[in-house]
Amino acid sequence: MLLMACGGGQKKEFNRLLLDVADKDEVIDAAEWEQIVEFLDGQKAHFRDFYDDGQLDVDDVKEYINDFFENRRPPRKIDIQAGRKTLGVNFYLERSGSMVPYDAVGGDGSFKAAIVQMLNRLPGTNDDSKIYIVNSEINEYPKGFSQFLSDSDIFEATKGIGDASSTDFAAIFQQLLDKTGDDDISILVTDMIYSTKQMVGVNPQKVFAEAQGMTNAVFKSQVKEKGLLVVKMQGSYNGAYYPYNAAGGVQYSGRRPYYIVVVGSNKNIARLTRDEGYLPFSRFSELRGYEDMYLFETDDVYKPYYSLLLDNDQIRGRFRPVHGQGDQIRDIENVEVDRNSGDLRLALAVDLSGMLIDEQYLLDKENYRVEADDPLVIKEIRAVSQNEVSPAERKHLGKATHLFILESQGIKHRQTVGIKLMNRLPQWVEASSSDDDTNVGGPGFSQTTFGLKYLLQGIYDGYRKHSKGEPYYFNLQMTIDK
Amino acid sequence: MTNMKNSILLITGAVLTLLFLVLNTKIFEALYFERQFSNEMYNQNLYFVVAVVTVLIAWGLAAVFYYVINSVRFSRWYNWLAVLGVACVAAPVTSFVICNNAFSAEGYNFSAQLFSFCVVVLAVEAVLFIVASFSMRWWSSNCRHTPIPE
Repeated sequence: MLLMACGGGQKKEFNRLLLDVADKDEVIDAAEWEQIVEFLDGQKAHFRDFYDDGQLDVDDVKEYINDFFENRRPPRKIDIQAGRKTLGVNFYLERSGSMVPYDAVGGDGSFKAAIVQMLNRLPGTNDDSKIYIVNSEINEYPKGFSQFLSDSDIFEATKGIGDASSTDFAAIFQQLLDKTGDDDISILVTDMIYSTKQMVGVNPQKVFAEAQGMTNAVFKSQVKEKGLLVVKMQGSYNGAYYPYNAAGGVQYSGRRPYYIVVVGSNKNIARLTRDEGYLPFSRFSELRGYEDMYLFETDDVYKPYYSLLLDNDQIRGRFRPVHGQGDQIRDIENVEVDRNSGDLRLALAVDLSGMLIDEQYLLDKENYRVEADDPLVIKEIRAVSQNEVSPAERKHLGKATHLFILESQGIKHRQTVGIKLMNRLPQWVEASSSDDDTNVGGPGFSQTTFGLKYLLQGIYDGYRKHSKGEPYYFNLQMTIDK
Repeated sequence: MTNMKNSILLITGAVLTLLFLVLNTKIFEALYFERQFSNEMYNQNLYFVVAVVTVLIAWGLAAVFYYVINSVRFSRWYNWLAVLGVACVAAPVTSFVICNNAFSAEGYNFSAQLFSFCVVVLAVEAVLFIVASFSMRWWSSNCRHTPIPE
C-alpha cells in the first residue's frame, strides 16, 4: 500500500487505469487486459519488476492487481481474464433417427432457426470451431462451421455419418467433458432420449437405472472443474418417432422438446454472462422455442453485487453501517428493532442479472436458504423500481436489480448471516420426464422426454457429492451486530 | 534519579508518538468519519501522510522552541503557548493542502469534509506538541521549566 501511494506518477497512473477498467464490474476482460499490457509496454522503464528478460510476467501483474484491489476500501476480488480472447467452440449435433424430424420440410423451422441464431451470437469468426455429428459414434463434420450454418437442411447434409439407430450418451458426455479445455466451450443439441441398441423388451426401470448410473459415473470426476447448462427448447416434429420398446418408428406430427447442453470450465461458464462479447450468446431465453433452463455448477459460481440499503420505506428499526465499507454495505451494527412494530426489516439490494438461471427460479424465495443464529426470513423478493429509491441510496443500489426484504424479531448477538440460492434440480425436470413414450400423441407427449429425469439426476448426484452440504449457486454474506 | 525520570518521559513520549503513527487510520477515523471521504483518505494512504506531517511539526517545533530559540527572554508559558499555536495552525493547513491536492488530482471535491477533518488534526497536533514538549524539555538549558516549572 505504501509503495503504491509513494511510487512515481506512472504508478499512480497505472493504478488509475486499474480502477477505470475494473472497479465497477470487478472484471478485467480480454480487451481490458490488452489495455493494461499496452500501458505497461509504454512505461517499461518504470515497471521493471513486471518484466523478466523483456517479457511481461503475467503472474506478477496479476498478483499486483489482486493486492491493489484487496487492500483498497472496499476490498474487491477481481476476475482477470488475461490472455483468453475468444473461446473455441465445439458444436455437437445429435443425429439419431428421432432428431431428423425436428428439421423436417413440413415443420415450422424453429429448430434450425434457434441453432443458427445461437451460433451466430457467438463472438469472433469461429473459423477454428469444430462441428461433430454424434449418434452411436462421434464424427467430425468435414465441411466446417460456416458451411454448416448456411446448409438449408442440416440433417440431409450430415446423412450417413455414424449409425443413427442409437445414441451413445456415455461416449458423448465423456467427450464433452474431456475435450472441453480451459479455452473453449462445447455445445450439444440433443433430444436427450437415452437409447441403446438392446432396449426392446427390457424393463424401462432397468434402462433408467442404467442411464442414471452412466451419467453419475461420467460426471463424478469432472464436476469440480466444469459446469453444464441444460436448456429445454420446443420445436416442431414431423416424422417417425421411435418409442423405447418398439422395433420401428411411429409417425408423429406436433411439438417435441429438445435440449441445448453447454459445457465449460467454471470460469468460462461465469464468463458467458460477464464478458460483453458473450452476453448475446448467453441470452438463451430469447431463442425461438425457449422453455426453461438449469445450470449444473459447483458452489459459488456466481458472486453477485449486493448491498444493504440505509434508507428505504421498507426498513424497520435502526442500525449503523460498520466503518471501512464502500458503497456496498454488508456489515451493520447497533441494530435495534422498530419501536412501533417491535420487529426489524432490512432491505438488501441484489444484482440477479447475468446468471444462467431461469428467472422464475431466481425469484422464488423458497429456493433461498437463510443461515443466521437468530430467525431471519426473506419476506419478499421484488424488482427494484427506480422511483422508490432516493438519490442518496443510488450509490448503495449500484447495479442491483432486485430488493430482498428481510424480516426478523431482533437479534441477540453479533452474527454472520448468509443467504444462499440453493442449487436444486428444478420442478421442470420432473415435469418434462416420462417413463413411457409408447403412447405417441397422448397427453404430455409433446412436453416430455423419455427418462429425462434419470439422466439429469445422475449428473446432479455427481455435483451433489462434490458439494459440502446441499449445493448452492451463490452466498450473500453479511454481519449484523447488536 | 531525575535523569532516569526524564529518560522515562522521553521514551514514553516516543512510544506514544509511534503508536499514533501505527494506529493512524483507527485514531483519525474514531475522531471523524464520513464514509466516502474516509475511504478515499484510506485508499490514497493520506491518513499516514497526515500523521507523519503532524508528528514532524509537533516534534520539530518543540525542538525549535527548546533547543534553537532556547532563550531566557522567550521562556515564559505564553511563549510556549504561542509556539503551540503556530503548530496548531501549520499542521491543519499543511494537511488540508496535501489532501486537497491529492483529491483534486482524482477529481474529487471533499473540501467540507476536509475542513472538519482538519479540526481533528488541530486537536491531535495540540496533544502531540504537549507530548513532544514533555519528552524533550528536560535537557534544554534555558526553557526546561516551561510551560510548568519542574
